Amino acid sequence: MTNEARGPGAGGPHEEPLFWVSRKGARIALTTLHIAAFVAVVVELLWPFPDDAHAVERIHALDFPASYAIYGFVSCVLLVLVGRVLRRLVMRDENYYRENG
Amino acid sequence: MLAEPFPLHLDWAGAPALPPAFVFFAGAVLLLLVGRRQRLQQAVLLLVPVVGVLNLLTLQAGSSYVWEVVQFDLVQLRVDRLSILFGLLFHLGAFLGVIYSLRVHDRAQHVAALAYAGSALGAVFAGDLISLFFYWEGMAVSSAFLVWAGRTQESNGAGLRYLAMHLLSGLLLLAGAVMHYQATGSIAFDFIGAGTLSGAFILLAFGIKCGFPLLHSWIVDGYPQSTPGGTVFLSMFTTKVAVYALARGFPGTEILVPIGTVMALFPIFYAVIENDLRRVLGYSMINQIGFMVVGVGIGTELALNGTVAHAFNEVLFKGLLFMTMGAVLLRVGHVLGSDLGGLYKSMPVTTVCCVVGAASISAFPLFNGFISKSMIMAAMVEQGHTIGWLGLLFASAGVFHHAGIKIPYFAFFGHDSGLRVPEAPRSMLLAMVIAAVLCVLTGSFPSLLYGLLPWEVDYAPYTYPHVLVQLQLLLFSALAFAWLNLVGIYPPELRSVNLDADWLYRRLGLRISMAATKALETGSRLLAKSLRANTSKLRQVVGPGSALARSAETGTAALLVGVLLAGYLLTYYLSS
Repeated sequence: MTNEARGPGAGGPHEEPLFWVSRKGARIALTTLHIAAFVAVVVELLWPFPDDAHAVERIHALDFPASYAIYGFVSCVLLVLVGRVLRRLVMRDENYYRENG
Repeated sequence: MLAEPFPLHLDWAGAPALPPAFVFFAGAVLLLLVGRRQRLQQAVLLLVPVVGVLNLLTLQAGSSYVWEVVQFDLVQLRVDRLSILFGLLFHLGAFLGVIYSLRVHDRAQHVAALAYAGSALGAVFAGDLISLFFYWEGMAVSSAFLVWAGRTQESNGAGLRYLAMHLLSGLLLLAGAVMHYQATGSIAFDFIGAGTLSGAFILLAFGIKCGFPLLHSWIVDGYPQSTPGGTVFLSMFTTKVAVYALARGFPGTEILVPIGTVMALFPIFYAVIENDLRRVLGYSMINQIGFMVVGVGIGTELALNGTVAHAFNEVLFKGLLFMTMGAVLLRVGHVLGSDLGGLYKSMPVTTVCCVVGAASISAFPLFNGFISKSMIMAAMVEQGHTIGWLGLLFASAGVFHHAGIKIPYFAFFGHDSGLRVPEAPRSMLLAMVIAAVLCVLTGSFPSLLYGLLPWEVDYAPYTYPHVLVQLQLLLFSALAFAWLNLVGIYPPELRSVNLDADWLYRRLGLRISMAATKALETGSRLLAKSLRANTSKLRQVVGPGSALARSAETGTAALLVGVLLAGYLLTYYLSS
């Protein structure tokens, strides 16, 4: 295998410094993201959706505060966890097809 | 469908009202005639979509162009609000693709691109299944040349596999069309439905071009092998023609809802672990087409409007994302996430355009994905497809994860790879900026697009609940990405190949055919050996000098005949 790990998750959190939050701009972006996410939830708690909201926003399965926030977060965690399992099943060397016709 | 003329219609009495495909085919021929003169080639390339759109906007419901061949009327010009909107979209796509590729000195690629766009337009305006078949095959062949334009060993192989899949689609379409004609006596391309064998064949033909699950590999196998400009063209036409054909022939076909939901879901898992960023966009394209297929399956006016609007927007934002990755490919020489990062320092305009494309595909408010994807989602809820809707919501969060964040992050931000390259060439930048502006314009002012849609629009995307829940979904998806990165759970970018459905024919099929060839070789060897052995025995009996080959005296022959006759007489008397 010639797989060479690069990127933020490469080698785990301790082998490579958290380079992208160590830079000032990236720290600001991350802080802004947290504030924006927090505000998006608080706004819904302070100003609940009107009763005449479209069916999509009032769908029974997600008709509770911050439901879309939770759904988005959980979806992405699941996506990554399943992706990791999938990688174990399907990942091959980059020359896999070249070497085998 | 609305009967009023298309809002951008040009009232021009002397207009020739040609089938739009003809303008592009004429342009391709002209391009061949002007030889290697670069300026002339560029002029032709730019003129074709401009002249084409002027011709297109003069078309109206009464415009007609029919070829009578044998007993068939081949309708080259079926004009309604649906075909006109797709026609406009393809002219816009071709214009952007042409500007993007203007600096390229490759006449073959340009000719293939014009022929490809022309074939796509021909398919959209075809009013019968036979014409559709010919344009369908035209798209297959011309687009295969765009894959081969990569001129690498990989692109040669990928182009052949691509062509094989598309020719198979054409064969299915032809078989379905013949059966449809036998059953109904008509070749008209209107509602077909999947309830008959002919309908199933035609649906499968459209499904291959749409990238139905397990039939999708040609997208992620072929598109990343083309040139930067070739991939931009490829991303704009084939799959959108298929969506158009589905909307025309199979609206309200229930089976399309689960098929589309699976299409929206499975590619996002592959996209998360894929290293080639153009292949990530390929998976993301299947994901987006999944939404459109669902919209066709639901079949209400809101769903079909959402499908058409999303196809329009996807050409813009996916074309834009492919353009930005093409620019990276041109400057860096590859688009492997494992070896990129920090390019925002060298390519700031490309970076901004990529972020706009990423925000658009993620359906951020003020960007065009927001105003179209939500129409399909809303129609899904209205029709009671709650489980499917939850699946599409998962896919919406996932697409932000892999296309909205991963693409710009790994290419332009993240780990600084140390690469310092020039910004993209001016023509590429111009195409990217136009596409980015259109993404923002249509997203911020939805009426610009809604006013062009084929059915009456009764939908308001910018409501307080809709904006807020979408922001919650996306912001918390981004939080998940950030946190998973911080704790080292996010899959790192690795140089690798991920096995997909193409493994079935690239490895399994290859092994089966090799085993079959070996078995045939062994069988023929055994047969030859046995024949040789039997031949030597046969030679002993009938060969030269053998008993049967010896000649006899005339008297011996007469004696033998006499004995035979005597035997015959004796048998006769004994039996009577």
